[in-house]
Amino acid sequence: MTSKSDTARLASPAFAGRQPGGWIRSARLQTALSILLRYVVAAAAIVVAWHIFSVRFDSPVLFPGPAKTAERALELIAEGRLQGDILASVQRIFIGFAVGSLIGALLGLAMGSFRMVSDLLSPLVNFFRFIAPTAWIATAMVWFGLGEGSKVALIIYATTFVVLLSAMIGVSAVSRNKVRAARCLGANDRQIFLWVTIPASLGYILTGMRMAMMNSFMTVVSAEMIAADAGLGYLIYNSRQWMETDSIFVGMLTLGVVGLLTDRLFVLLTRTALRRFSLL
Amino acid sequence: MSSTQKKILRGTLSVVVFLAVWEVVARLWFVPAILPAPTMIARELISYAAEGKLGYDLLMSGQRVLVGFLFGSLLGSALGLLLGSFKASRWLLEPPLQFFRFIPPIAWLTPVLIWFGIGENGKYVLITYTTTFMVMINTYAGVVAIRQNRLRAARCLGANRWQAFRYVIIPSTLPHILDGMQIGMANSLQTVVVAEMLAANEGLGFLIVNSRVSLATELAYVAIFLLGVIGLLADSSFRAFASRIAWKYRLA
Repeated sequence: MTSKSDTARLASPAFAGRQPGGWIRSARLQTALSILLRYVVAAAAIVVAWHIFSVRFDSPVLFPGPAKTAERALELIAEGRLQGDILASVQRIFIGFAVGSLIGALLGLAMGSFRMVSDLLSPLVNFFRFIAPTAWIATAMVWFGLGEGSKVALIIYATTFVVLLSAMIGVSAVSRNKVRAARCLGANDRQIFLWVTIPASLGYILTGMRMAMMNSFMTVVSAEMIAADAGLGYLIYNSRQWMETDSIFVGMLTLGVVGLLTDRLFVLLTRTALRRFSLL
Repeated sequence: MSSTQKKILRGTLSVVVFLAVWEVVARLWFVPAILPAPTMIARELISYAAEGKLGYDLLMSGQRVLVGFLFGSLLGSALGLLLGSFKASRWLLEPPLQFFRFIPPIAWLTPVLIWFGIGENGKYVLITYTTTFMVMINTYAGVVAIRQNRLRAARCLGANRWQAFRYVIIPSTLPHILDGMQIGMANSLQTVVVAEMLAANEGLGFLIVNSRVSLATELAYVAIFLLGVIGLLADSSFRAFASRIAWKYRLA
């Protein structure tokens, strides 16, 4: 969203006249810098507003200011707790997300390509995908224990249906002429599936995965709030017992940062992968 | 046999086989506390509904979601339209929006509990936030995605700023607002379940957690089943509603 509008603005003729020829040569670098500037300005504005609000509110326990939160963050890092919690959450998400995406993509491709599979599975899929993953938290703990197993299972559940659906849409969006062309050139069904359908629906699968990533964050935080001994959700919910609102804020800000970085990383990887199939 | 008939036949077959396998597996190898059979869940559903308790839980969860969803949709679309319509607010507000997008709404439960207590107000605030945020970013994206030529055309034909807003921006953004509301509804259901699991004495989420304490595991499955039904009904009725009011604006 961000980079697109910026690139568009930079490419417009109105902007070309203002292109500085000096130290910023490449347009891409300049785009990156302008985005960075926006983020810095926005972050500064938020911190200032947050500070003013917390001073007016005048209750460090109920609403700690940025300074107190930053101090707490440093303490948590020094104790090694914050890193541990980040690692715990990220690890769960990574495993569950990878497995869930794989299952979702395979099932979605199969359902999109074969009438039989779609007829058999769609009533079940169309019911289960409407059950919020968080509704399964208690059940998952009965089946897979209180440890990693239940969290990973929940994330797999949260990821699978989102990716499945977009993979199915992806298959149905493959242009008929591509399939016809491949068939004219002598490809059989298996070859068409492998070399036409899969590459052509890859973009949809990746978009689905990006959406599923946000669902995974939501699910893991919920599960960690309810039962865990590490993770960002645990940090956020457990700190309530000691009224450590500053730790809660640290946990939430960390979630935002980790989520944003994961998303950017994913977009970067996606672009590289998609360029291979010239979908961009 | 036509393909529609085939589809229905296969669909029914798979659901029946799924339930039958579940029934047999549950009865042969599992105690009800771990995996109750579908018939046990159905019986529990009927008896709990007959006692009249189920209606109350449904009502409480439904009320929380609905109040938050309605407030959130109004607030979210208004904010999204506002933020998207001005260059300055776009410039300044896009980065924080991108950031807050990644903080799951349920994470706000803890501060909300501290600020608003464990009563109803906290739940309304939480669900309102969940919906507001989703609707807002979708509306915002919708405003940003409007083709400039459409706006220019309206201006050329003599529309003033307000008219361009009323007759170009709002209609073009409506499909995005509706998309946002649909996602917002799904997220609200997810959020309300967790909020009820952690801090409530009624509602479907509470039912799920409490059934373990009261050793009636079937009840948890009843609640999960009902959540699926609610999700499905909410989604399909919303789709019907959206296509009714938005079909004429689906220009793309």
